[in-house]
Amino acid sequence: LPDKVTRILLVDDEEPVQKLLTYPLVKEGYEVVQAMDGQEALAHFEQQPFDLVVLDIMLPKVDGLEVCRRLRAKSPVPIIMLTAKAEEIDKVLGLELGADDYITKPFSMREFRSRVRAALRRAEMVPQPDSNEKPLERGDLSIDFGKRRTELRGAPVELTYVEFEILSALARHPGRVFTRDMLLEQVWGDSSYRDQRTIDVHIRHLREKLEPDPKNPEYLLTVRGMGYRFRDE
Amino acid sequence: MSMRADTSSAENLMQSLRRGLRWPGSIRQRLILLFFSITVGAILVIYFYVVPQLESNLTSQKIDDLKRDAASYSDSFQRAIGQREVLGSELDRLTRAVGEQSGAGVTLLGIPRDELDQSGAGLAPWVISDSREARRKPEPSSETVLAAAEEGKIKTATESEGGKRLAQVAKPLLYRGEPAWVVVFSTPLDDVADNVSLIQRQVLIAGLIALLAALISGYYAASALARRVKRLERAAGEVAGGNFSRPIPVDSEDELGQLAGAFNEMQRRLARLDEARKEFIANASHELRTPIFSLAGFVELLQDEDLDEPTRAEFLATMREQVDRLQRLTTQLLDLSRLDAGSLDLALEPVELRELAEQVASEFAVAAARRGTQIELGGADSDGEVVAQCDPERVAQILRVLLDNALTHTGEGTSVTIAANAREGPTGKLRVAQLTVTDDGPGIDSAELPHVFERFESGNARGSGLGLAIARELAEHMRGRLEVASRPGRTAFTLSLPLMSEGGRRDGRPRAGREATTAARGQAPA
Repeated sequence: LPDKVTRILLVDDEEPVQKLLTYPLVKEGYEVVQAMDGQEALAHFEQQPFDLVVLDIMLPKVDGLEVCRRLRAKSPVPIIMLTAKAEEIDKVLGLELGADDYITKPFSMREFRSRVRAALRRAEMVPQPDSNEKPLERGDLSIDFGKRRTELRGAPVELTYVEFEILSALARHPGRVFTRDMLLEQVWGDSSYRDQRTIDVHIRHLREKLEPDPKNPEYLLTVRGMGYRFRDE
Repeated sequence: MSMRADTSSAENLMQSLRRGLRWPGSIRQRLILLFFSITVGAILVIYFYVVPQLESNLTSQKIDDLKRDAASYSDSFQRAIGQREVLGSELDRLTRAVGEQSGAGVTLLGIPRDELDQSGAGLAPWVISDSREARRKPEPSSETVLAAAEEGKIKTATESEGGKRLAQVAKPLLYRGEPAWVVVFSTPLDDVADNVSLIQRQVLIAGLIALLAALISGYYAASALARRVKRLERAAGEVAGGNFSRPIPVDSEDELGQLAGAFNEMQRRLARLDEARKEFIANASHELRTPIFSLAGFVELLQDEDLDEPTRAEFLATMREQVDRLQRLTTQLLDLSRLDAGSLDLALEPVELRELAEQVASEFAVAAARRGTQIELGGADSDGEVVAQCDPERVAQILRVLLDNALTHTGEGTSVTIAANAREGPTGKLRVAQLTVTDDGPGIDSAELPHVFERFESGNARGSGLGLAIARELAEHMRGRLEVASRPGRTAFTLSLPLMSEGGRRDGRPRAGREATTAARGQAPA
């Protein structure tokens, strides 16, 4: 099993971009399967398992957002979205889509490599059920770190991988202030090339899912000029 | 010095007067001022023209009554003249009776007979008898009486006596051919004056009420108008600010309602244009961004990586393609902006289409051979000339787009045919010159077929989707058409152009333009 080749599905409708992004991946020793449109991407995914999907948003036939939604419906495979506009971040990281990460074009090859490595590393860290870690109860909210489960008034709440990581990083140390850089580090292992707005977007989504009034949060509190903290009482 | 100061201050006064007399700024003020002036004007006309007219009519009516009285009663006096020895008391009775019957004041005057011819002064007619009471007895004016006596005719006059106006009619009475007496019928004009001043007062009161009503209704009408105009102005301001989403409610059928309707239509069109413009910019920047992004990526790899020679060459070839793509795209964008601005210069001339088709086809020979595609020239009647009125360079450009399109959208081993023919036009009368590029490839998807000439509609990722859009617009600028028909196994793009002549030998003039040849050399496809 350790000798298993890491296989990446690269979906982009531009030939030169395919060629460009394939080179560094192959150089790293990954196996790259190319798809030129959404239909082809879904077909490849049916045929064989992948460790990572790099997915452009603008695709003919089936667009990238739809491909992401369909992949996520049947697999927890890490997905990195390639976007052309910064305004698309929100959609990409949105609740129903559940992409793990995004890169806005244009990006450097160094950044691309670092993102791919981080996504794969994250996927390898399979969450170990740790029965020793006690679930946290705070008001109506309960977080089971071991089972990666979150409940609000007894009802389970669906969180994406990244959302749960941010929530548990904050909730393991209630009251402690985390800067955006610290959270980026915590979740992705490093904070270079990353946009701090990503954290804000995820926090907003978390609040929408967990807070009774997302505008006046009770659990995930903003510390102005610093970052975020979890309610300590 | 002081003179100059005076003139300049007078000029200042004139200027400020002129400024003051200029129409006030807002429609509301203008309308109110207009209402005000019309009402005041009407009142002034009534007051200074109609009322005096009325007064003089009433007066002349009185005088006419007196004349009638004079005519009907003078006989009784005439009879009395005949009797030389009439007693004064009888004459008094007569005048009083006539006065009672006619309702006018009657005065009988004697004329100093012998002195009548002489121009002596101080002679005045004397009163023989008077029907009126002594104390309120105004003397008839001696001028009227003397004039009546002198001319032997009825004379009329109005005169004021002690603040009261009086209408008088003097009738001379003859004794043996000479005027001896004058009988004067007079009546006061007090009631006329009273009536007239009453009317004047009422005109003033009614005028003030009308003025008030005019001002109030003018104010409201003008306000309503101004409000609607203001709404239009605000909406126009929003459009100017780039907001096309809020139409003005069309609240009536009048001119302003129609203006609002026209404005809304303009807004809709602007919104569509704006939408199209934004879409165009988004599409264009996307088309530009992708090759630039990949170029930047390859440059980074070439700088940072230790690439082997084949990879390096491959990267450079891809970069070359991307640079070509950018160049093509910028040329196309320039063409489109010229077409949109209408500043594209066309040099229309008679062009032999077969020869032109041959030239363009030869540019593609290498590219076609590499793909195993054959480009054939011809058509059924391939011997004659087809001469069209067009710009050879632009027709060559259209042909290049069509050939490039046929080569890139079909598989290997496809055959492509270019044919030039003269055909019946769509109306049946005019014959047109047609260039047809046909391929036996898989055909265009039927859902995509209606959109192939739209900008940025590209069947694959390689093209920008501008070529066919430009080709069609170029064709239309040359008063031609570009159409497509497609099914699996046969796709035909047909360019129709105005026909000049057909038939004849192919070696004759005119020839395809020289520009087309040079352009062909300069722009060989990759």
